[in-house]
Amino acid sequence: MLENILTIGNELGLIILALTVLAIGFLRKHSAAGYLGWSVAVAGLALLSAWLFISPAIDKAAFGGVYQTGPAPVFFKQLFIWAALLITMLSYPGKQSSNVLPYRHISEYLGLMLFSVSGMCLLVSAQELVMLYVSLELITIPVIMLVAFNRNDPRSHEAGMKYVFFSALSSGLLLYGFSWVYGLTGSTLLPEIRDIIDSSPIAVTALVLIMAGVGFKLAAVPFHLWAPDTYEGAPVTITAFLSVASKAAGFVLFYKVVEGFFVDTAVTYITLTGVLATLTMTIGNLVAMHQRNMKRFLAYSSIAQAGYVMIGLSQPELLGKTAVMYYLLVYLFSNLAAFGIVTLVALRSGREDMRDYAGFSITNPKLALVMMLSMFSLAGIPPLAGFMGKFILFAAAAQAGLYWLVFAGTVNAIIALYYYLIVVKWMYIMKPENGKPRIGPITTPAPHAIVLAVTTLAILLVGILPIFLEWAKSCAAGGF
Amino acid sequence: MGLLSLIVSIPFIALLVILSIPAKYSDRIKWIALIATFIDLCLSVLLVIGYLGKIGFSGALPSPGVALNLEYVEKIAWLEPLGIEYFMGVDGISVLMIFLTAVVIFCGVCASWNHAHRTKEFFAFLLLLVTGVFGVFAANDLFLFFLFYELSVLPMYLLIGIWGTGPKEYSAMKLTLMLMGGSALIIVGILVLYFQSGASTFSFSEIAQAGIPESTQYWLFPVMFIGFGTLGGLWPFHTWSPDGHSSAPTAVSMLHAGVLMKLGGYGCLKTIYLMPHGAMMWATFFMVLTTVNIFYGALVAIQKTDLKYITAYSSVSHCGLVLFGLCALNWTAFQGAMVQMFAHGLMTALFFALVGMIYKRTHTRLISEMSGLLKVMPFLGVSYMIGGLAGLGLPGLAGFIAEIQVFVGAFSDASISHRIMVILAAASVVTTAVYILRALTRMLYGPMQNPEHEKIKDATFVEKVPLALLVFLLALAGIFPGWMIRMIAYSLTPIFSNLEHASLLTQM
Repeated sequence: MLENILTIGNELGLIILALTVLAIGFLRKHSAAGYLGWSVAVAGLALLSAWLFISPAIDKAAFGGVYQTGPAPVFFKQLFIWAALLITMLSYPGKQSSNVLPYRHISEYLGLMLFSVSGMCLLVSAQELVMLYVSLELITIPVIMLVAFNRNDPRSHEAGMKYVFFSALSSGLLLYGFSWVYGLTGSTLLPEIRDIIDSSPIAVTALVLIMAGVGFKLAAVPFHLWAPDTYEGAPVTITAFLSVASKAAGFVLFYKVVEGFFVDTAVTYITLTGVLATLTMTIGNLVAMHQRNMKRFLAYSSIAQAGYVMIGLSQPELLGKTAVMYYLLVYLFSNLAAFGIVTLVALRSGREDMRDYAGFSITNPKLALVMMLSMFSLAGIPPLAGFMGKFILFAAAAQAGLYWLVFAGTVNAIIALYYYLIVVKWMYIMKPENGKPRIGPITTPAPHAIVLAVTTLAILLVGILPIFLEWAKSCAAGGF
Repeated sequence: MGLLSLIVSIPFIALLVILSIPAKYSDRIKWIALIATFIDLCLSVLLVIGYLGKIGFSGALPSPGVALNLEYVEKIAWLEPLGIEYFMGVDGISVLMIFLTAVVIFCGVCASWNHAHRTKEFFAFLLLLVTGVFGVFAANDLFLFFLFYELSVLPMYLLIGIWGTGPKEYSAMKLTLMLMGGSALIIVGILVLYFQSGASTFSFSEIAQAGIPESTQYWLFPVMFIGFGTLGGLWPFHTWSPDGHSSAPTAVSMLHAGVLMKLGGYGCLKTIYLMPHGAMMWATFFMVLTTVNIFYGALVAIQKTDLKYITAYSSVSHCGLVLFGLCALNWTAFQGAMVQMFAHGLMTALFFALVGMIYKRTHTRLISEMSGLLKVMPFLGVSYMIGGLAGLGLPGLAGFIAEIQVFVGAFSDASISHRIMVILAAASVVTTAVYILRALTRMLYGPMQNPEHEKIKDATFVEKVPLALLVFLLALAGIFPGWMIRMIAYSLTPIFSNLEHASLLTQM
């Protein structure tokens, strides 16, 4: 029993941390409690990350094979915890803003997020359908509350409602697909299902249902309709959380239930993923071009980015998995750098429109540089991390002989470059109306500065230093 | 650190230094940029001399073989999961191009000495760009090559967007997207080459030795040729060039037309090297396009009255000649094409520098509003004349060496269609003479119509340096082309070994 508990130590730690942070929120209606909760969350996450880092990443099962950890799960857990850590730091309750939501209830806010993260970590390790489903709900339900956290803002309500409806629908589809799988195989353990399931029409139906459910989580076109409104209405940091951590969890789900189950119907699901990837990239990019609200813009951009990652899903070999995991790592940093700037600007000046950024490079040269680097990394410009990520994704598709998919990806990279350049254009080229920039010089609080420094360094180095790619490759070799 | 890494990294180090200096010390920033580019110029001269020393000034060409004859090789394993290496090494052609780049960037920094608006960022982006360009010519790993290639294209967006003139945002966006569109084709090409050749590295030589299946070459060759051709000004993918070059600030136009378009030609050469079967199949098709290039560029240049547009279209025409020479798939024509890359780089840099300087004095770029300027600015006027004469291929200047070899080489092919195209292309020399001589006479001679222009002063010392250097090199390459042709010929052997091998296979 003790051994079992030690094995799930990471998840237990997260849940204890979440409960602690929540409890701190009840202490007193005083801003000091907010700081305390925030500090505990940061320290706890940093410790957990360090613990994951030093503990050996070997295959280990617990609770009769229901739970299993190994190199690939550890990679994803590390990714989720980093995302949570960076986003917690971005949610730092500054002095001016401690009365605004979500900063007024920062402990509750962070507690909910930590619950969601523990759900993600459980999902990576789940080896059984019911556990898989429960951890999925543990991810989703706190996020619903977080999306609607700004309760005085009607946009946040709308976002919350949309997220509820769509996640309920997707859970339903997924569950329905699971029940077909159970009916076919008579087992709920993933390794057993993998061995039994065949390529009968019923299996293909289950595949389609499950793909649709996963598609919602990934915000893949045509299941993306909830994403833009939810992203726009949610608090900025939660948008970042949704677009980075929650999306990565969607990819884990794909590997567990699509790639894991349907080896026999690989041709079907590869074609399906390739088509979905192309649609997702293209539609995400075409719509993103016209967005002028920064959050909405980043929402569509992250839809398109998920499309690129799906290119890697269509290659079931090692290179494909490496590419997906590496890109998620790269994307985590690139996207959080962009969200860091948008959060900071929204917090300090209340501006969310792209046009407000005219003259930003003159008033805030350093922030503008970070934003430009993150845009270029998202666009895939060498030598930044995003380029390496895309290159390996394309290489994976090329190895599988899917040249049309590589071509679709590169064409989309050009479309994407156009709108990322538009952001750069507003910051660097456009002159503000009547000579006065709408966003004045912004003082960066220390936690924000650390996040921006870390993400910028990662953008610059993850692509160049070979160690990250090798790490992703060795973890991907372990399997799920 | 080897000589090549040093050449590539010096601009980058200078960039880092510049970033650490507060923007108000603009003089220091300029000096750092100037010193860094000057060091690079000296190093590249050393590289030329050293390379010539290694291959000998005369003597036999290397024995036939598919692998490139590289010198100054540096090879370090980098991203092992894909077999990507940090692989630097040069053949004669890349040495020549590195030298050209060093000359042009040094002249470009001199020519933008009076730059006043957001100086720090300007020089930072300029140095980033030139790091990329040096890298492309020194890299021998396809991945590294592509990485530097994109690095040299992207800063252009901001350089034109922030410091340009006229419809700069439009031009900058058009240029960036078209060139990136080209590189999208290239990246597909690189991946197909890597997986189809079965080589476990991205090295040019090894991929060429492993060979690409013929059926793949047939469809991949045009993809990559158009990808590189977009940057090389291939008609009808050249439209970014006139807009981009006329909107860009002086130093940027110099660098872009002078060096970056050469990346396109250089890439096309590598494409031919890697895919000889594809090249033989598609050569005639692309030759037609490049003939249009030469002719069309020259014809449009006749129509234009804006000096920058004239220069930009003449670039399209001259770069067309580079690609034309390549499509001839003939030794002499290849030599000519390579010399043309060098000559056109110098000539165009000279033109754009002069246009910038003249514009600063007259505040107009329309030739109809200028006349009799030779009286007030003899130095600038004479430099312009020498550049113009090199452009129309006057013997004794570099342009002649290039054109004569391209035409003779291409004409020696027995097929009638080739010969007709050569005649058409050669006829464009006349058209070139028309637009160059017209611009010269209107601008420099005749009575001075605008009294404002009486007060114009001739070039200052800082302006004379780059002009004198460029003119000197144009004449040097025209009078003593031997060293250049030796370097080029020495490096053409592997490309021709590959081509001949392929043509033997086809005949059997």
